[in-house]
Amino acid sequence: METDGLFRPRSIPRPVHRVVRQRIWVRRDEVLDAVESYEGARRTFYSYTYKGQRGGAWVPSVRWDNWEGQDHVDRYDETGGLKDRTPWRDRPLPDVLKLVKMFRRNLLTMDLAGL
Amino acid sequence: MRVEIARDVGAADVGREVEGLKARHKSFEALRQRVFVERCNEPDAEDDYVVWRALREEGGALEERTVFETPDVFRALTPRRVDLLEALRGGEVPSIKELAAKLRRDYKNTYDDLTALQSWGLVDLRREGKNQRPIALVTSLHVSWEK
Repeated sequence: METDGLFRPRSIPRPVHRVVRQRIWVRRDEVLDAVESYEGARRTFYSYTYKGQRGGAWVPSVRWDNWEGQDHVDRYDETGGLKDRTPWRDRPLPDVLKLVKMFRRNLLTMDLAGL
Repeated sequence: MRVEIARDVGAADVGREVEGLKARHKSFEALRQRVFVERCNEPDAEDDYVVWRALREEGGALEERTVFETPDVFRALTPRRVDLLEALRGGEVPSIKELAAKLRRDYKNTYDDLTALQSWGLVDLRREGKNQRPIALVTSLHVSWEK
């Protein structure tokens, strides 16, 4: 049955909300934390956060996400404070993992929007 | 080389997850306020919001995976530590002392091995009164090489 998107017939159940959380260890003190949220088969949210360990805590360096529906990449300073934000074209986790493994901490000084 | 560890998240794990979220953020409303009104721009807070929102919904589910793209993890996975993981998978153990007794091992060595596994996210040590309950965060472990 087709709908115009304005209503949802009662016979169609709401898609189940599923979150997949992954921690990918790149090195002993560097991880890429991924959170992806799905409604049915549709990915509605993603965040991929590259973190380093400082003083026993995981501090974010770079984060790709679509928070509030906007694809963007954030960079953080050494205390974890937001430094800058640039638009970003949505790419899958394996692509982001390749970037992290290839450039690691150099990502902090690169033009991320162009990657 | 890639080592992939999957974890089945059951009802008890979801309960523990929600307790952890409450301990960090007090309430779902307080977290929502922080990320949307105060715009804290904290990655962990935003991710926690997404997880908590899913778990509040009927049928909402959480899947967890840990992937090692570094062979360093094999320093953590010594035969004795793999025995520990296996013992923890075999049934709940209320304390480190009982786990050490079950495996006929020294308490300190057992504790040291558990904290090493904890540092790689393979074990959780939950404070329960005077005891720390060791919980394996591993259901399956798969090693592969990319072509």
